[in-house]
Amino acid sequence: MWDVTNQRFARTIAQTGIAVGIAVGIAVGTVWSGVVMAAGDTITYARPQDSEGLDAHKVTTTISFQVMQQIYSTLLTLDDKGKVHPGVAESYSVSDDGLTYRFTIRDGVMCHDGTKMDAAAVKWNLDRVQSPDIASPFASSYGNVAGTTVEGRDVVYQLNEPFSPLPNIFGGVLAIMMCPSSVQGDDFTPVGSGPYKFVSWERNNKIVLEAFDEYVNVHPLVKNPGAPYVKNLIIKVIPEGVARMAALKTGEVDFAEPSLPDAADLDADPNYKVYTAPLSGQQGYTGVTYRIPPFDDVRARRAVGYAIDRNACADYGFQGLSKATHCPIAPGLPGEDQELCKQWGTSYDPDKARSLLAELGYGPDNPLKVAFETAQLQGWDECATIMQQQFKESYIDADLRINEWAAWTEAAVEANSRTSGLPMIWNVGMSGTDGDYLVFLWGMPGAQGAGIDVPEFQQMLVDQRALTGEARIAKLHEVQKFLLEGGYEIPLFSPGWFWLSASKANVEGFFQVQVAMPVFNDVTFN
Amino acid sequence: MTNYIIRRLVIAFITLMLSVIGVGLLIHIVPGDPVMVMLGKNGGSATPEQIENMRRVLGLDKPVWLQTLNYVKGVLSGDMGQSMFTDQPVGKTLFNVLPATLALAFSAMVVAVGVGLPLGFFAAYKHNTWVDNILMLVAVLGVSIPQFWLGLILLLFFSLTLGWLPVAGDDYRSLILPAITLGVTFSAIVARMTRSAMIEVFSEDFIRTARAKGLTETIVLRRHALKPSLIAVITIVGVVFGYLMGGAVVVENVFSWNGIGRLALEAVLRRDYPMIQGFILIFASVIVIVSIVMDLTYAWLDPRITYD
Repeated sequence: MWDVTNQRFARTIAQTGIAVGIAVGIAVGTVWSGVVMAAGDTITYARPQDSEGLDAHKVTTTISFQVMQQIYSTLLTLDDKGKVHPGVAESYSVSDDGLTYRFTIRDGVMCHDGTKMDAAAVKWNLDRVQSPDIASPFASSYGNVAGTTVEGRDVVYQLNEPFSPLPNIFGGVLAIMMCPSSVQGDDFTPVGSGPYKFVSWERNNKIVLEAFDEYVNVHPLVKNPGAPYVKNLIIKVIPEGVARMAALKTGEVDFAEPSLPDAADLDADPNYKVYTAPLSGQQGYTGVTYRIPPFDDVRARRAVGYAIDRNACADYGFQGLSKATHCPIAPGLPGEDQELCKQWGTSYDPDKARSLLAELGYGPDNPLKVAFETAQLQGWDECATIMQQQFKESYIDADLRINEWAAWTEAAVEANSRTSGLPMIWNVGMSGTDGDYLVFLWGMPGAQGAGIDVPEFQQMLVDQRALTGEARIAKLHEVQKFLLEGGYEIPLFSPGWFWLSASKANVEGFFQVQVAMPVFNDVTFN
Repeated sequence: MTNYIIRRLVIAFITLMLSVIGVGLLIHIVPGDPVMVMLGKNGGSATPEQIENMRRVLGLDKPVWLQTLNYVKGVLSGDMGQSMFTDQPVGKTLFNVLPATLALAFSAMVVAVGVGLPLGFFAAYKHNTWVDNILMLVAVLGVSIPQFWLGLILLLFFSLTLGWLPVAGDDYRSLILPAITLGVTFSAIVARMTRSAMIEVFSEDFIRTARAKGLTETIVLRRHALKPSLIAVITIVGVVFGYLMGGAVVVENVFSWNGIGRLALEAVLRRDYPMIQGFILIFASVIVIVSIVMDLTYAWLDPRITYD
């Protein structure tokens, strides 16, 4: 009945043996061949995630911008004080009424494929962002646009309303200029005029870039006047923090984004360098559902602020690699003034928090019950846990929920739409190159529906766009004063996401520019 | 047999369509709006009208049942749609990483079967002795060790300390440690299943008859005991292989192995609906194919099993 012949049995055993033998052979061969180290003409940079895309008009994440920063250029550039400098545009002017911007495009700016980055190419970018077919998230970011025209080397950008943040926005990575040859029908291949040209992309594995030999630098913070010193740039995905550190230590990668504990260890090790993005433009903050009682009362909102020790967040949650901040506008951006913000906002004072809540009927026997939502990012969950304990000291019973981003967004949108039920405290962050992002956060409808429907405040947000210079700074101060005195926003720390990098100590010339964008133009290896 | 295969293929097709429709409806229940995820932290100042336009362009303005129906129509014509986030064709993206997943799954199965089968065989042969007890203790340990922990330990030892293997390469050398990590866990399962099956077979009358006829123990084990016990082993191998083809996310993350599991996880976190549906379609296809192959293998192993 069980007709197992020697032949069949021998075949089965042989096949199994061969398979195991191959596996063993590979292992032995590997031991003999050793591990290939990174070549001297290649920088390998390891990150925990892959970019979502390289179409600058469609993707919005920092992790995507970090690669686009290498491939593309911006119309203008920013120095470390936030002052505007030439980029693809060698100069610009703005009409007295603030409605017409004229950008004169530098002659001879070449794209990686030999086409030109000229006035027509710039117009193509600005028009494409406005196209309903593209549905760009940035369609409203460059002002209320009337239209764009080309006059010789000039791009004339016409607005329906003044928008003074425009030069700062055009100086940052949120307003990238791609080369029109990037789009061929339905196909997209990143072509830019930046320091590196796109070579290949294996999704979730690596993006390979190559130095653009014809690159001419105009960025004020970059010392190298021409093409990057190191020919190849590989941006690799290594999701696990321990593996990224192992790869850095073995020399398999030259740069890696460390976890917070690893960054603290490497910072103390003379064999490594840790970079912390002083120009991150990032701001982490706490908000509350101000439409739901008791947060419709300013005392309750400010009580939350007094309950929070932001230094504990920065020092313990972020291992001292982030800094406590007091302004809604991120450090280094126009309008930010930490001393003024301290006067308007709240600092850690649990007695004050308890006293304010007692006025509203809350105390040890009747704590204020809230939902407390934060997104799952390194440092943020530790910070939220610390805050939850601090809330408890001030008789706020916070039910902490650490969610991935999509679920957090849904929860925040739902809570901000209600006027009753369980109130919520939430942590989130925002980054940009200009304090105008407060319009996105708190204008109507606002980020996650948190817009503040107070007409005077909404008017302040509109007015700051029409002002320039010190008048604008003063108006931004008014906006921040409203947010801080009203307890709508409780700034916590800066920076807070994708802002850390580490390398071996023999690396020179690496730094990061606005919104934590890495720059490799000047990198050399000693 | 031909009729059986045709019947199974028809049922497989229905299963796949039901899976796609079911997932297409269910993913909209999960909290999280892909448009809000897209806007992210640097999302500019999109007005409500522009947000609605984004939904229109992505097809999210249509009723859920219509979105699902359109997706099914697309799949039937060979189009698995575009990723909402990367704009890349879903089919191309998934099939690009499928070879890596296949390589990892096969390698892990080689380790699992190569180690587990002899282990279970020997444990059954030495049933109720100290050898059996030690081997089964090893098997329990193998199942109990978290893959995350084992993977990191192997990585730190072989890659960082010894420098023998790369941390995160993308060639065959990078396959060894993840294959061992996965293989160790599943070898324990294969060993236990083999042992149980062989012990059962050893108690059968035909084994007693073979021994009574004076056959050597080696011939009794090789010619009479092994093949019938393989049916249970084939079952577990098929189930495990199907699981691995869905992507061993933890191991892929630890070793930066660019497989389908990581891609699927990111799609879920982003609420990239077409990518999620594409992944489910491929995963369900693998399960169905493995199931058919297993059933046909049973018939080869056991002549008593016939399909009409």
